[in-house]
Amino acid sequence: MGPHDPALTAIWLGSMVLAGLAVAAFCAVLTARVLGRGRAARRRRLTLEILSAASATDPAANACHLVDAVREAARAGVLARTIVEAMGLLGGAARERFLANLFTAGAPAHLRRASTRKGADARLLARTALALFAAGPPPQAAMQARGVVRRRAA
Amino acid sequence: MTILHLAVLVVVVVMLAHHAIQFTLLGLAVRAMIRRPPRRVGIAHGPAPVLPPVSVILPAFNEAAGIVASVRAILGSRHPDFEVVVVSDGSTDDTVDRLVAAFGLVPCTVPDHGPLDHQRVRTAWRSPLVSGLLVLETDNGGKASALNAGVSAARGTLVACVDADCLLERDGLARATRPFIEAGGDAVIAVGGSVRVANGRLWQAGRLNVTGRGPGLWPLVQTVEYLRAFAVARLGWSEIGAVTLVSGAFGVFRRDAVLWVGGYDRSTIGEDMELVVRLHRRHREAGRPCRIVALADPIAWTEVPHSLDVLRRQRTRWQRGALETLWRHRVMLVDPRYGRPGRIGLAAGVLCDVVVPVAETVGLVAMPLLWMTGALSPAHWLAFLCLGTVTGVAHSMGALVFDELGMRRITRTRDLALLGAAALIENFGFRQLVAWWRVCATAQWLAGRGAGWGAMPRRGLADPLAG
Repeated sequence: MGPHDPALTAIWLGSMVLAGLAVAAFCAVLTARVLGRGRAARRRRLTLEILSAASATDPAANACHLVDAVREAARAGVLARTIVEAMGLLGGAARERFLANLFTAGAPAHLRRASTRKGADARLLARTALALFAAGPPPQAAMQARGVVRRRAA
Repeated sequence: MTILHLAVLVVVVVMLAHHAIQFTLLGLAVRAMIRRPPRRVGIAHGPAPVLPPVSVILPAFNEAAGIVASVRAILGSRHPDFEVVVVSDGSTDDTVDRLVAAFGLVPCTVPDHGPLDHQRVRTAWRSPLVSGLLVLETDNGGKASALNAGVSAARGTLVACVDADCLLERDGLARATRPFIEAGGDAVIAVGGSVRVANGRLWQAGRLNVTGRGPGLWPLVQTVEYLRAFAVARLGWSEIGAVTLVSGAFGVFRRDAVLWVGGYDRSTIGEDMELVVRLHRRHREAGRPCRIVALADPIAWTEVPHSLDVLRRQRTRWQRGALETLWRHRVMLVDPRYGRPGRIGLAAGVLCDVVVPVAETVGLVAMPLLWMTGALSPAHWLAFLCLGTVTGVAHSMGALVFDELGMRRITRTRDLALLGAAALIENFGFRQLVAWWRVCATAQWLAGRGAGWGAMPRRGLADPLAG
């Protein structure tokens, strides 16, 4: 067992590689967690924005803001969940208003795209949300407001 | 080559084999998680409509500190049909009084003795307020006796044996009972749940919340151990059909299978492992189908020992229990008809529970001796130490990463970082100490010296401010 023993070199090398892999994997999940905290905060903010903007009685007043929020929420993957969970809480006129406002902001198009993406849970949620829109024809008010939104967004 | 050289060589080979098994289990657990990722119980936050009825049995001996919280946690389970049977095994504290006060229990007819061996049932209580809660007071006869009394009185098709200091997650029962119906028959006879460390958390308003107070050093290190054992190793064994231990803290069994093999054995201190191995053995001898699986997502939270003294007693008991079972069912190691549970599961048990602690202790003594006598260069000694430490750390960190990616039950980032530190720290003293305790327990067992359960003081997980 001399100083240039190949077994010794192999042990040191193996140990270093193993240690490096373990520490790198652990640091990766730790970093993902820290970054994930930022993402979670952004998702919460978007959810609140959509809930408040889409529940407004005057859709035109919040139209542009809602279009942006819907787009951003769809990108962050929280649109379908927000809609499905909010529909469980709202009732009657508030429920119709909520759907109508989101319809005018173009939510169904985002949901249709989400319903074909990866992730079984996300697909199911997007289809559930789409089914809520498909349950009835869009209210007349929403159809009229849609034109307003498009004009303002342009 | 001297005897010391030979000893060191054997130690290195044994430790490498041990780590190879652990990393193989990690790989198998990853495969299991990819194939069957944890699912939501019901997409609309409800339980699956058809699940077999379960009787949850809580054996309790002086568990006044946490018994009410444990029962409340189980009563909050999302399962369509279950009952709770608390068996006070001759408790000398106010375990039963607290249950009587919390649930308004009234005395009822003592159920029939039943087919299993257990101590006399002195009193039975039922709650007029909470349906499906039965409390039995028996003479003190040990955990196996209490479990047998509970299984005898149970009405469910399945029996879930849960330690009285454990808090079951709301979906725990539903998740643990699913394999019984998914298998579509008699094949699955037992399911092992996952046990996690709850120290540093408080049971408040029906939830287990993280608190500002830390769990403490020893519970933190044990958290890493539990993750390795429950989140990784059991899942790995389950993947190849070689589960030989369903923890007594949370396991679900077909009641008819338990009755058929005669229930828990009162003569052993490791009654949980013994029952599982006996189930494998009897079913295979009779040519009956038998599958015992372990899952990572049905979770029970438990309070682990805070002090080294209590921890030593616990580990001594575990070691003796494992040795008793291995010795009693040693025929399964060589007879091919016992299949993987015998030739793989129990053989690995012999390596990990008997050989590894001895090898680790011998290595710790032999290597410095060789170094001092000049037979081993410092470079080689350091290299062996480094390899042992690095593989230990890598295995623990692998378990943490696996849990983070697959289960994500570590609530705070700070806790994850602390567990990473614990995965490192445990290799400098703690692991060696546990190995030494296991060697001592093995020596005591070989010498025929008896060992009991000993006192296991609990702080309790219930919020003291909640009353």
